[in-house]
Amino acid sequence: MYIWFMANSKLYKGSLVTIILKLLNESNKMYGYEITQKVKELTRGELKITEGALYPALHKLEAEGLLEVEVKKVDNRLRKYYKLTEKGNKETVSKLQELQEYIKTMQVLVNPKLSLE
Amino acid sequence: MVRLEREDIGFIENYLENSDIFYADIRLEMTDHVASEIEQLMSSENTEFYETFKSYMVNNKTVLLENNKQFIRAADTSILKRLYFELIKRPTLLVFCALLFMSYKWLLTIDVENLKDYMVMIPIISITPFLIVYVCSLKIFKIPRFSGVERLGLLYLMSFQVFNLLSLFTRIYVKSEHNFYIVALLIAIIVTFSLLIIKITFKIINQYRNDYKFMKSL
Repeated sequence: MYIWFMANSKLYKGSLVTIILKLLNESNKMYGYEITQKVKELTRGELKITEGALYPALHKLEAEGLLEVEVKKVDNRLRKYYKLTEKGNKETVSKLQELQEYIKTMQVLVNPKLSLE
Repeated sequence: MVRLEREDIGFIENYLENSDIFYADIRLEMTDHVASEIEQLMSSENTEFYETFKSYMVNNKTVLLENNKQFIRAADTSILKRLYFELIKRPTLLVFCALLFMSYKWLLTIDVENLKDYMVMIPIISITPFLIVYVCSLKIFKIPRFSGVERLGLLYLMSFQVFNLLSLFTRIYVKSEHNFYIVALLIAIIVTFSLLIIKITFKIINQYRNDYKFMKSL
């Protein structure tokens, strides 16, 4: 499927929401294409998010009340910006904590020596 | 960086509309995404608009159409969630109890035989208020085809079926004044639902008017 295309997509698929929330937490507001470009830039092209994965995730987060939208006219067209709601900010903290714990656990499993240091 | 002209943006939007992406909210987002991608490609590959657009669509049209379907599903989920959250609020329960009491008192003043005739009309009468609200809002605010607004139709249809079923079921029980509490319950359920649906309709329309105030028709 056309969700992600990269070295091992399955490992990253479950983190899409966390990535979106983290990026929105760092910037005040972002639009869809900007998010895809930011991810590409930060990972030096290693990770690419397709629109088929990004927009359904954004709309789901919006429906859950974690994001709010703002539409502005930019470059001859309308642009939909997303920003975190108060509930979204809380969810970002929780999701990041969850991800860090996951990474720590994986570290213990994959490289026990390194995790003891 | 290349910037697309107004005509190019219009071309993309028309293409998406002709590809069955009817809803204005999803189309404007897709238009912006496609336009941004094409601008990027035109700058990096030094190509013309039509050639870049054609090549982009050959590779991405399926994804865009799938995205449209997922967006519609998200809109339906959002409406049903709103209904659920409204249903579990305390004021809803209070309104329901008040309606139940008032309906029962009113039914005691009515003849049983006449009541059966009235009940046939309950489903039609029950959906009329929110259809009036919906049509009037669209006419007054001239809202474009937004997914949230159009998908309310699904909620109306579901409500009509539920009301009809409840009405049919209740008619079997109306044999004497002793069974009036069942009819009162039906009336209370239908009116509470209708009020909630009207409230959700207003909320959704106002949200679109607020979020999309840059659109000409708003």
